[in-house]
Amino acid sequence: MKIRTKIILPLSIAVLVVTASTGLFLFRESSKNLENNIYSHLEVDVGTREDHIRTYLYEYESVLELLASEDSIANSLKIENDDFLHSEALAAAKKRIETITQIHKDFFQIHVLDKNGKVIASSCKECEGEDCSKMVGFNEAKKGSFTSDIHFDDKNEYTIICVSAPILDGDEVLGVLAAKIKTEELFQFLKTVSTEDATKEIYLINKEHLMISPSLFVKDAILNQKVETENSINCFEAEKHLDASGGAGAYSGVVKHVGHEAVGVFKNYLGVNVLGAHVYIPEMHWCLLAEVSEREAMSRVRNLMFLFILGGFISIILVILIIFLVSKKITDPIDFLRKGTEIIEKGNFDYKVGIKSKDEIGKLSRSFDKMTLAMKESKKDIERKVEEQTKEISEKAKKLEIQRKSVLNVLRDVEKEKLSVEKEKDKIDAILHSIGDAVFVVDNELKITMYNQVAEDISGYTKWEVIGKKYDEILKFVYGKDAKVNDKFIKEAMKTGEIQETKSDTYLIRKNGTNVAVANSAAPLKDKKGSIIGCVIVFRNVAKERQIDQAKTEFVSLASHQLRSPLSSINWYTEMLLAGDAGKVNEEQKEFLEEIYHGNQRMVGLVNALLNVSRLELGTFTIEPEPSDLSEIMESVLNELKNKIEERKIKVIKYYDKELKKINVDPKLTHIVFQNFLSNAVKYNKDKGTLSVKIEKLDKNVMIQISDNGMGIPKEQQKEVFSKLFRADNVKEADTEGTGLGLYIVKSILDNSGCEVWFESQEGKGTTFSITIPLSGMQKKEGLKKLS
Amino acid sequence: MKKTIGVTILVLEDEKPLLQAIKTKLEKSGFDVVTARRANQAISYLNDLEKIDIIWMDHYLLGRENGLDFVTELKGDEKWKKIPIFVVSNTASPDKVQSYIKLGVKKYYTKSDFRLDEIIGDIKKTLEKPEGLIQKSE
Repeated sequence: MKIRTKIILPLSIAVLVVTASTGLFLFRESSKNLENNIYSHLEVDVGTREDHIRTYLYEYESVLELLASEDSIANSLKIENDDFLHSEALAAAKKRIETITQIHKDFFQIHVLDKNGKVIASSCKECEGEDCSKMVGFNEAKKGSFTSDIHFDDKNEYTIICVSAPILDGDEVLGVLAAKIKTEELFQFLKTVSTEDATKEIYLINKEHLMISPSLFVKDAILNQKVETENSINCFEAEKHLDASGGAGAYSGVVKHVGHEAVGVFKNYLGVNVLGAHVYIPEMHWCLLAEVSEREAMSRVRNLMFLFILGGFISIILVILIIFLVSKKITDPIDFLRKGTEIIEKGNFDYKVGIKSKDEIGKLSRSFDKMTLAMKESKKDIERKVEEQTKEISEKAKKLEIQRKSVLNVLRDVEKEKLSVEKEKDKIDAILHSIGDAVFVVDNELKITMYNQVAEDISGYTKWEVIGKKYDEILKFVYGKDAKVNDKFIKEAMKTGEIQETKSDTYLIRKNGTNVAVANSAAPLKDKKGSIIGCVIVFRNVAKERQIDQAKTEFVSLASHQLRSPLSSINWYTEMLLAGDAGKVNEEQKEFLEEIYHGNQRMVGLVNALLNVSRLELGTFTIEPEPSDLSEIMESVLNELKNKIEERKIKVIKYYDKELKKINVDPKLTHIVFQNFLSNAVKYNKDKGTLSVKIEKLDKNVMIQISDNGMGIPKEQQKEVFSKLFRADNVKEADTEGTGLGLYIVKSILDNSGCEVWFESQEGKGTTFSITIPLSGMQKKEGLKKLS
Repeated sequence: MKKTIGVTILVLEDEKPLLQAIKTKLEKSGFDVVTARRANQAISYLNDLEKIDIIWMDHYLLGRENGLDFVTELKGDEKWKKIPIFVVSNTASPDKVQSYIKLGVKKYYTKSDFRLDEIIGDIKKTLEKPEGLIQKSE
């Protein structure tokens, strides 16, 4: 919305509202005032005329009374006898009457009436001698002055009032002086003076509600027109009140404006709406009414209204015009300013708006001009800066170009490197592929980075299927009957930095779901600093090996059985022979048989030992630790050797540490171990020698020591003592029996179960074998068979 | 002929010389001996003869069935399950031993480690005290 409109509209509305309301208010007030004015005028009209009428009537009465009191008049009636005097008196009376009539023009007839009503003297010659006893007021006048109501004269020419007064001679009523007075002058007073009230009418009505003064509008209204209007009725209402209080026909000294009310708007005798006022004249029982047509009265009000409206319009228009002009004065400079901005916007920074006025617009335009100037300056500034920047940029661009060229060079070198690296990689690949075992490499995140041909063959997965993936998502190494996943060895290798191998019954699940027996080893990959960057895993299909192993085990098993059977046979038959079951044997026979038996026993022992050795070598034996009492095992072995010990009279010294409770060991293997040591300690002892056994609990392990003071082991052969089938020279010479396998077996068992074994020996003095078993017990080993 | 003690032993052994040795020794000890080399043979003896008091058997037998099958069969039969069984074999494989013991044989002997009279002595002890001589697992 334009400013102009913004200014004009609200202001106009305001002006309109104000003007309208003020106008309305004023109008109402004025019209009320006007009305009141009219009413008061009417009241004044009736008020003043009332006075006049009273005055007139009073005057008439007093004139007549005065005249009645004159001698001349009285004489006219008194002197009857003397004609001369009579006629003189008459003439005097007549003269007086004439004078009066001449003075008071409205007294048009004056009669001197005797007590009978005969006209003695009169202003009209013709009337003399007439009988006017029937005249209005004749009788009443004898008592006192009497004024009649307005009526027509005998000839119906004029309207008159008859005023009569008694002619007295002392108290005697001689006659009546009667006057007929024209009402002309009276009526004159009723006429309104003002020209503006064309419809104002002031008239009298008598108690019969008949008009007794002329009507403005109706011809011959007098004593014709009945006026029974609100105005007239109300007027006579007042009469009722008055009659109650005062006497009629008595002019009291107190002039009262009685029954004085401006009635308001009502219909007059013509049915026209008028504003009226009345006054009651109780003496004559007259009502004086003043009425003016409402339309006439109100016309002034209406005129006023038109005036106001007109005035309002004019003022509004004027105001709008003024506002318009004023706003124009404001908006014009603003517009000018705007045009200026357009010019400047087009690029002409030198243009000045230049409004000179001191008001806000002027100030604005001056600030605007200042701003324009500043913009011009800053534009120059910016252009300069842009120039500088451009220079900088082009320089930088040149530098970049140089850099780009050098980067390109570097890239070329990198390319070369890449090629040579690829060549290297190809070499490695070739090597990998020609390795006879399956090889794959994982990185630190266990993702496969290399995978050779043999790995593909064994696993059934191609290189492309595995490279980049974590190995455990594709290659599943399992072991045991329940196919538990076993790939700890890879993680162990990477964690510990040492080569790890898998268990003996590890399988790899091929792509097609079948198992293949594999032997794995994982070796951590280290960089120059020694940190682990991956792992190389090598595995090979050991199905055949395992089969062979399997076959070996079974063979050994079977072989042992096959070997044992004939041995058993020899055993038992020899036993029976020796027992005499086939007949008595003589000494020599017994000797021979015992040799046979003895030799057989050796064979049995050898077969057992060989069996154990083969199981140890196959690694198929088990170690199943359970809480065992070492002293008990020791005791049972000692018991088995009881006979031999007694035979050779060997002294046994025992020490079993009471602190030691049960310890986790494989009882069977422990038995074998103790048996070997103890039987050696007995075998290689001297007669009556000592055998001491000590089981002692140490800090972290248990130590078992078995000592003898027998043959001992020659120093130079001590290192071979644990080797297979080894027997030292001194024992061979001493011709003791032995397989040479015992200690080998013992060492294998102890090595496999996490225990330690060593000895101290001196030839000829004795030997002490020591074992330590960790307090946590023997290590469990899973295998296929137990040693026996 | 020596007077027997009235106990009949059924001997199951596949090797003839051994079978003979066992038989001789048992008879010498006063037992009545019945021999078989196959499991089904043994079964028919059990069915035909009224009373078999003890069974001496090897693990390996002729025919398809081996000692374990035989023992299982025996233990499954109301008439025979109470007969004490002594297994005398040359195999010492622990799982076989365990299996036999689990099945409820009286004792397991490795042939070559024991004398005949030792085994017979144990048998006689069993006759005196049938509840005794409970085999400990080795």
